[in-house]
Amino acid sequence: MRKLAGGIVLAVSFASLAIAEDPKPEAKPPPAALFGAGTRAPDASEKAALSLGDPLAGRVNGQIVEEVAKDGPAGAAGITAGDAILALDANRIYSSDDLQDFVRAAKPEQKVKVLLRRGESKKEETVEVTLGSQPRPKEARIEWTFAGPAQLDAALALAKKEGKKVLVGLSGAET
Amino acid sequence: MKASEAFVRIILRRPHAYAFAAAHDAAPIPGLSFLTADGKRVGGVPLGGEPDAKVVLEEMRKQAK
Repeated sequence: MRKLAGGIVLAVSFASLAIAEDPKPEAKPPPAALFGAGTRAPDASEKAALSLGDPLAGRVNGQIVEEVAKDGPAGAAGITAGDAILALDANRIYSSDDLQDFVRAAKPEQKVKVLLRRGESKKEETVEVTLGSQPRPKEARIEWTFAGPAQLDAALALAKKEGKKVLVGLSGAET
Repeated sequence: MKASEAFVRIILRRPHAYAFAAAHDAAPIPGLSFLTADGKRVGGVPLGGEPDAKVVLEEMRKQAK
């Protein structure tokens, strides 16, 4: 890492926009939101079986739920392994990063509408997940307060209200 | 205050990042872009390879004004 005067640190790898600021993060950061399910990209047979499409830059819309935490928020809402997550609120999901970014930018107890294609029935269904909370890692990186193109309008509206500009982090990396 | 806190902050990953770049003057990926509250892109800084940390910080401070 390279440290500069002014408290910004640029990590060696920028694969996931690893821009660290102020090497002394808050002693007690507020809790982070928790979704409670892990996802992965669908394979060819899953794409076909679940009719996953709506491609964007070579990616299909939808991530396969691989594991669901016992007693976690996703499980409590009825999400099960094998379901495909198509969208969180209005954010179409094309990668696990999309999902993780959305949750990082969300708040504990926030209610999120999850659009699914069920692994068993293949039917589309919307469930509501109330995000849980978990300790936030003591990271000094930029905290993104919005994630995904569906939140861009909200970010612009907040910028207008607060008299700010919008900082958009663009990553082409898989993490 | 952290330099980034002068802005409202949003992250876009692939493939959304590519769609954004196509619609906003070929914004650099990976990189940072600065938008006015009206959505007009007014600057950016690439973060690929070994970016110059000083340039990144200076650009963020300049855009924060």
